[in-house]
Amino acid sequence: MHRDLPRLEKPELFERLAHGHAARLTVVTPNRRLAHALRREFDAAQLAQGLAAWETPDILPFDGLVKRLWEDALYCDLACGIPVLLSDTQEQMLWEDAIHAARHALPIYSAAPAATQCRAAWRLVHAWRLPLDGSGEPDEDARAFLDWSSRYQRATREKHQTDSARLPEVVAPHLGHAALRKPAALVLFGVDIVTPQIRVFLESIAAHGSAVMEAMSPPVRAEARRVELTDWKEEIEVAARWARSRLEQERPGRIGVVVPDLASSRARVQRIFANVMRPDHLAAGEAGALPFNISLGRALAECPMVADALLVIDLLEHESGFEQASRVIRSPFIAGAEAEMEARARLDAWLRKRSAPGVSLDSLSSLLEAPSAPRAPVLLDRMKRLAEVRKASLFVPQLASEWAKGFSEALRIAGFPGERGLDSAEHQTLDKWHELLADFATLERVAGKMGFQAARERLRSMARATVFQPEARDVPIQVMGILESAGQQFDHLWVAGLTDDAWPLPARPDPFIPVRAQRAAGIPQADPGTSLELDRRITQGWLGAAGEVVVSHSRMRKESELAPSPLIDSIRLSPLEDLAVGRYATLRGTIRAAAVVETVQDARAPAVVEMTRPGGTGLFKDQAACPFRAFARRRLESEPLETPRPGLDARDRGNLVHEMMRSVWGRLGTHDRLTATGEAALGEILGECAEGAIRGMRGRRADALSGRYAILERERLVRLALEWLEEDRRREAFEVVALEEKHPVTFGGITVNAKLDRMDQLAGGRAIIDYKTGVCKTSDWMGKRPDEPQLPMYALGRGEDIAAVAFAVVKTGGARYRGISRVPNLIKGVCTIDKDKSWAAGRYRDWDQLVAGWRVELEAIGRGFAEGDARVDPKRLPKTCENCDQQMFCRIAEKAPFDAGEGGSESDE
Amino acid sequence: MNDALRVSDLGERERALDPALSFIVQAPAGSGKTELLIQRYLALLGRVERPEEITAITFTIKAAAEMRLRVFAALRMARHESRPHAPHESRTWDLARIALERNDALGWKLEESADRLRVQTIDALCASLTRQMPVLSQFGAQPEVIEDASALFAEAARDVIAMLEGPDKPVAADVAHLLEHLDNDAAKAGELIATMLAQRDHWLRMLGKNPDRASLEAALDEVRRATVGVALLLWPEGVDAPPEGDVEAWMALANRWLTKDGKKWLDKAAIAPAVRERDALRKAMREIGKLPPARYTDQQWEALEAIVRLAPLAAAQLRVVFAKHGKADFVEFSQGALRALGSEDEPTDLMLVLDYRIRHILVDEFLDTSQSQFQLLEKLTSGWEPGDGRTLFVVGDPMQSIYRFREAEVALFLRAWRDGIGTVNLEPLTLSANFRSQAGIVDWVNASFSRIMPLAQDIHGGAVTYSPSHAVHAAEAEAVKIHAFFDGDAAAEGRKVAEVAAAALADPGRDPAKPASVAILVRNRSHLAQILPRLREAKVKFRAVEIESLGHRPAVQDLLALTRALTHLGDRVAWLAVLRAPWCGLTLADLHVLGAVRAVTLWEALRDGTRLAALSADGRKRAERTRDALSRVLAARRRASLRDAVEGAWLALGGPACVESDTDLEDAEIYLDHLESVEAAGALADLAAFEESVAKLFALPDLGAPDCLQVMTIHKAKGLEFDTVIVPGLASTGGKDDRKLFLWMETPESSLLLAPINPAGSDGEGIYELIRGLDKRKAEHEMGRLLYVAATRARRRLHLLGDAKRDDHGAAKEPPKGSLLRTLWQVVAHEFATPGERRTASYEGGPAVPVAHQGMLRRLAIDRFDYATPAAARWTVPAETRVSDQIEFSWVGDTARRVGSVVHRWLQRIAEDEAKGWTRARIERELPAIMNELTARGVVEGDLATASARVIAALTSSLEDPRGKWLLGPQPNARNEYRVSTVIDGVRHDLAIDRWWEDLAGAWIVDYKTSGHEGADLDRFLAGEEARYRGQLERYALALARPGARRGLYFPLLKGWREWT
Ligand code: SF4
Repeated sequence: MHRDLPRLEKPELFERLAHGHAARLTVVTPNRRLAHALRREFDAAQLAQGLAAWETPDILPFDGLVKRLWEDALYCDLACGIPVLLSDTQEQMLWEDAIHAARHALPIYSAAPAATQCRAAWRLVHAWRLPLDGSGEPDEDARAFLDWSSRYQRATREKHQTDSARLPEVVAPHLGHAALRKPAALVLFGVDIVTPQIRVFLESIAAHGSAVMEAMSPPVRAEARRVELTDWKEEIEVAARWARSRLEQERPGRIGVVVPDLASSRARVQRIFANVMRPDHLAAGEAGALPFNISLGRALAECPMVADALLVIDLLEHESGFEQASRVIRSPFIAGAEAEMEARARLDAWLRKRSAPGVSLDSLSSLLEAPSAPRAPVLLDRMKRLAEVRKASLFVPQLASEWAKGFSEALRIAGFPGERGLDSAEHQTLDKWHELLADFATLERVAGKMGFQAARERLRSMARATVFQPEARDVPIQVMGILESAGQQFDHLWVAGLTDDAWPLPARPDPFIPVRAQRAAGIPQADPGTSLELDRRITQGWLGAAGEVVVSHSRMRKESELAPSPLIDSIRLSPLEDLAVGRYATLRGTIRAAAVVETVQDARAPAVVEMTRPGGTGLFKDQAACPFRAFARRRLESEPLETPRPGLDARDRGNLVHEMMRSVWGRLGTHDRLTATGEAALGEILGECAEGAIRGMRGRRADALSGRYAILERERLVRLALEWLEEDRRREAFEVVALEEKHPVTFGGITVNAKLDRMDQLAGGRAIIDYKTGVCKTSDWMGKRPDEPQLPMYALGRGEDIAAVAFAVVKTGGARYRGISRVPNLIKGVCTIDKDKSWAAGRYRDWDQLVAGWRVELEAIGRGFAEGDARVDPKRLPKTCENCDQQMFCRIAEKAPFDAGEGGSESDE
Repeated sequence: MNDALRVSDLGERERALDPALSFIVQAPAGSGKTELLIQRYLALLGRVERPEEITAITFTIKAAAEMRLRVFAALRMARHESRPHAPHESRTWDLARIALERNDALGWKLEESADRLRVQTIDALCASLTRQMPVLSQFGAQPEVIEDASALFAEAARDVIAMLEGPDKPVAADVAHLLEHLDNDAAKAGELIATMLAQRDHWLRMLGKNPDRASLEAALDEVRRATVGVALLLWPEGVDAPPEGDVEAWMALANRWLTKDGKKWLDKAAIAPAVRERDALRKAMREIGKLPPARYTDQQWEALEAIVRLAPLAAAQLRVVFAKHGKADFVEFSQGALRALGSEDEPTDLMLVLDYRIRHILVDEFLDTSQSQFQLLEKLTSGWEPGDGRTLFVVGDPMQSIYRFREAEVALFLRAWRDGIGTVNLEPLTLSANFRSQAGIVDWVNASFSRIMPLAQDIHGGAVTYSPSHAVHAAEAEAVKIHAFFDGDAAAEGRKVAEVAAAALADPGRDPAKPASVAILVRNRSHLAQILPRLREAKVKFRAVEIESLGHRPAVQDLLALTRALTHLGDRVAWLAVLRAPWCGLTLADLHVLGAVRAVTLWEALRDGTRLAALSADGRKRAERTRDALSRVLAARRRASLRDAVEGAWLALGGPACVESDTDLEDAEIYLDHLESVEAAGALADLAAFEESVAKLFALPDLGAPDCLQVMTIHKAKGLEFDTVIVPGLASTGGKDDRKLFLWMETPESSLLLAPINPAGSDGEGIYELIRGLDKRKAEHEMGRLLYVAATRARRRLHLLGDAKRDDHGAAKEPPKGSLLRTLWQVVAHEFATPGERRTASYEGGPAVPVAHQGMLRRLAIDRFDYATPAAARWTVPAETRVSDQIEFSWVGDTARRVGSVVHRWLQRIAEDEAKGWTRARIERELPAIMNELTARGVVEGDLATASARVIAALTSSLEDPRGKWLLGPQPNARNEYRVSTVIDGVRHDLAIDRWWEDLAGAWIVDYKTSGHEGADLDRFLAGEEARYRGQLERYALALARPGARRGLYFPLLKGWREWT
């Protein structure tokens, strides 16, 4: 019937609309956007006539009309017989239920996206009136859909519900009722595909007296041009510059830019256009009006405000990840966020060193109350109150509406949306969020009580599925996707992205409906032929939609070469110059051109005043490795943020071993005791020591050292110690005379605390021992700028007669001593310097020279620090820098080639 | 290609076009296989019912695009141009012509719908299958593809380890066992599991067979015997050998005879000379000496059992993780596609799914196929029979199989060559013509690689034999040149590369019309550290493709610092970095003033007057400038995207003025784009992961440079060709290989052997090492192929550069294991024969930072730095659009708003009836309808009773209230819910006027307000409401052009009324 409808040209349509409501004329469009565009055009025409006010024309999408008629039915005696229309959210939930119910026969990994896909198939089935009876050779997927949809249908029937896909059939039988306000004339505008559902509906509305007509924008005769650009980015940028050129003309009129696949590139397009239209918009920091509007929104869950609201709700969980909690703490959308901004940053940095990777409101509150914690009273207060709410109400399953109230209450307590003034977009976001909560509440109609997790997850997925676009001004430039462009008219139109793989769109039959049935019904997307036809019509539409039409395509995508779409490649290729596209300075380029750079020498910080430094020998280690590193770490306390991670890290495990060895030797004391202790007794001692070591660390890492893991760790410590004691047992007699002893030492004027792990009294003197669980080399003590100055510092600082320094390597399968002694054969594995195999040992004749060398080096290092030497001078490039956390501060990358192992690079020197 | 006589394999090429037969084609480098594929594609097009029946599979997206372009080009040529003369061109033209006739006859419209040519990567094919079969693939809906899923592997691995504390006891015991085996190092265990997941393509199918101890040990026995078998083959006649079956005796013998490292015979006197002189036999004995015992130890077996049970569990957990994130990696897609294609017994009928049958499959680069891709082909061709009109055509060059690290298995090619694929027999064809390289190079390659590559093919050992080529192009001078360097003289080697490259660029190309193309190919990116600086010094411009990592570029580091600083005020390193960066450039002394006190953040210090006063004058200016720029950004934090915030701050600080070159601006852009792709809701979920991902970014090639000179990895160069190819750094070794949780191998008899990782502290022994040794040999074979790929990229000249250490006598030593030079050594050793002085290496570590740079502070000269902000577009900003007047209830809460709209709707209805026939009783009868409406508007169950009571109260009271009766009753020219558009002071309004009418006495404009009010002082409340809505009614009056109309507000719930003029 479509093509036989009486036709109106647009001027005629406008004339009729101008008659006002008395004409009872309704215009339906395929989508909201086109309705909006037509409305706008009509308003402009009325204004041009000099009118100040006019009756609002009745222009709405087809769905809108059906829904309005359904509502009419609700306000008359039909009310009780008419099924309730499900919201999208409710519909989604029911589909998910149906899929879930069938999960044993039809296992799939995630029901939610499948449900979304089902809804699309469901709409298609009704729009094209496809049978749902298993005819047409359904494949497995189609059969699955049949199963799910029959469950869904049953569920809705029982509850007397319907959905938007079925609404036309619900409404059509009642069209005769007087309460359903039918227009005298119904005009289809820009409806390109009349599905059987629409057709049948129109037939019945016509049967009840509405005159159905069709209107089209008359095609504009335009000269189309085609341009080719290098890549996508350049293409969009040129389109934006073109749009700006047109905008700055005398009478800009309406400018349209079509970008296929806009959904995935929205942010990039937005930025390119904004940069062209207002080069300083990012730097200026405030959002001024921009002359373009992008037709697509983004997911509500992607709006920072909403994301943080969801994080606050997550906190009500009995445990949530530290990073999430940290984001709440630093969120600008909660109470006190401005007043306590800096305090919270400090607090968060402090927490990172102490918190477990999983936190609860209670554990957070108690950490926040610790005496050493930076103060953030508002935050603490809110956290505590939230903890109360959680205890009071969040454990039992509840109805969605009760959850909605509970969530709102929690957010209120958190002080959402914060004390910073909301801008216009945030206001709208907040409204939308409230709507979402209200929408969520209505889920009680399709779902029973749900637990906290289910409720929270549902709300989150709703926020993800809700696409939201803050309403913008009426601006001259419209950027839109392919679908939205259909039927619209412009003064200037640019269609980008028309490469052969993007346009025409590949045929995409719906996977849930037999392909044959789709083809038979004539669904355009289901068949390459019909799909091509449709896209050809759309292309024709573009070419007649504006006085100036430009189509473009790019030559490259990443490394692939592309060809123009065959649908436009007959249009003559124009050189870019013919397009009169302006060149506009970019802020980036302007700044770059203005660069004036100076280079000064700045290697020396102010001399140290406080000569006694907190912390241990690490200062000397840093200074030896790189003076800048020592300056940064030891004088500016430059350190990165930590991140609480699950499980023990290498440092924790090393600390456990240290603690284990300390307490074991604390108990044993002498080699004699060791050899005299029987296996059982020894086992007992080790067990207790391991227990103690674990207990000691559990205070801080309860999460990591509980349950079965703690048992395993205890066993490991015992195993390690046993293996180690074998090594000690083999030694000559000795007595442990010091354990974990601290002791101030001074070199080059700088005093620090040196700590040793253990000192043994041997027959031939004392040996200083340092436990190591990783790699270590005796050469780390030798040469200039020693890597491990700790033992030498201790040995020298002690001022006693030291006969040996040794690493005790405590690791599974590798227990042994390594070190240097004054005389041979003091400890197995420890030799005199002349026997040492390391490359650096050749510098030293004997022990005394080694010790003298230590003194010289350590004095020099201490002096360097004291004098403020802060040269960027890593001992070994790139090794020293690889695990250094100061790289961005010292700017090593600017100063030397830096090649970090695999995939490394070099610099621009 | 003008000399057809030199094309040695015309017969094979013609045969390959037979559309009724299936082939496997070995196509060595330069043999023009793409042309062959296209010809076959066209030949098939001429025979099918629908173009979709042919599926062509390429290895890269780029190759798919290229093949498609070339098919279209051939079709276009056949459509619009006359038949060319060159024989192979005319052949293509003929085939295209037939295809076109088919196209026209069947109405395909191929030239307009590129998508109907199914030329795609295997990943794209899998994705299209899973998209079409969401249930069979069990995805439910198409997940998003992620290329780098390592974060999700890690997440799944953590989940598995967390099962230690979980309720499932057996699983917990397995996890405990694994941890114990790994020294209770949970982090390490997590890494190993994550790595294992990345490779699940290999083992999933294998472990599905539930290997038991007996069969595994049988496989072990087989391997042990096979190892002995090698020695037996080499055993000299007449010397006593242990019995063949007594492996232990052989092992004992090997240990007696050989030194510990197996490099020398030990007990020379005791060993027969016939044995001693056979070095191959020594090597074989060495392998025997290293054999593991015949049985797993209990410890090994228990660990293996635990791992084998945990592996599928981990894979299942990974699927849960994927589903949670709505993402999947390519392996998951191919697994999904495999599931979708059904089991062997019950294959899915693709005809039903697609409505066409796949009749012909062409696979390019078949050598790069992975296990599951091979399975996919088996399933796609299941049930195919010879002569049924369906064909498979696979092409590749096993000599170019270099993607082991991406799970490609050259053995699959060899097996297909031998056995076909699934039920399809493949006729083997070997091409030999080389259209690419001049004869000098082809000859050198033939001579060298027939020695380098193994003599015998070994499917399981991944050994591919050499297949020679015949040059079509005549020989030219100076085909191959070896440049020898000594004792780690990287600088000299770098200079040489620059020199050779410059000379090659000056040399005209084969086609004199085009400039010569030159490529520098390296095995690892890190090999370029000495080369690129030399090129830059020599002012030779080049394009580096995915070579230079971005993470350490100063411009990127600065942006990273800014990102971290803006996301966390407490990130001290980042803040200090921001203050030291060129845009601020504070001196150490000034930094010390700001940063010496830890108790405050640097951001606080920046705003602390006393502290600022203590700065140097210049430092103060700098600090204040930075503070001002950042305070704007921080005030608006988390409003825009993080990327916009960072870029905004960067611009405001003058970041672009601080970079060293324009390329840095590109790098900055790549960083910012990456930031945008990672951030969610204006924040970074995991900063550490983000920083790791930044380290994996690559700089864009210098687009300003001509593409004559390209620098890339050998892997990247596959499929390309250049006039001159320079391969430096032959002596460098590859990275070390990481340990895996378990290793597996298939024995020659196709049984499976598995080995668990060795427990902590006991490396280098057992079955694990046995399999690892085999893997190493596979890797060595691949090195030969890598070299082959590099060498065969050259059309006219090949330069190879390597460095050899010299011994005390000045003779070159054999290059280190794992280096390409070692592989090449037997061919090039003589080039390194020049004796010379040994250079002594220095030990004190690597290069130092030059003294001049140690204190260098590069910064903006802020006193002289100034610019004018570029102009914004000129346009007339419209006033805020379309103020809709209907948001008045937003403050009262949702239910109240919904009650309001239902009341409005009914009042409209009643007023339309002029209140005739409306009574309290009738209203009360509407209760069910009212409840229905409230429900439809989203009022929740619990509020329904009160809400409907309110509606009824509002309606009945307006019916019973005299004012209400008057209002709703008959009035002249009345309109209800009257919609008017207007423009007032340039602002557009959409108005909906509840009720208005007009008679001779004048006009009335009335709005209903369903506000409620509890408590006293109703009048004051109403007065407040009037004030609130005055403006709105004013607009109504203006829009209706009735400035004198009387305005009224009616409050049905309160029976309240306000009027004014
Ligand atoms: S990264 Fe290197 S140069 Fe920079 S501070 Fe650390 S060690 Fe020194």
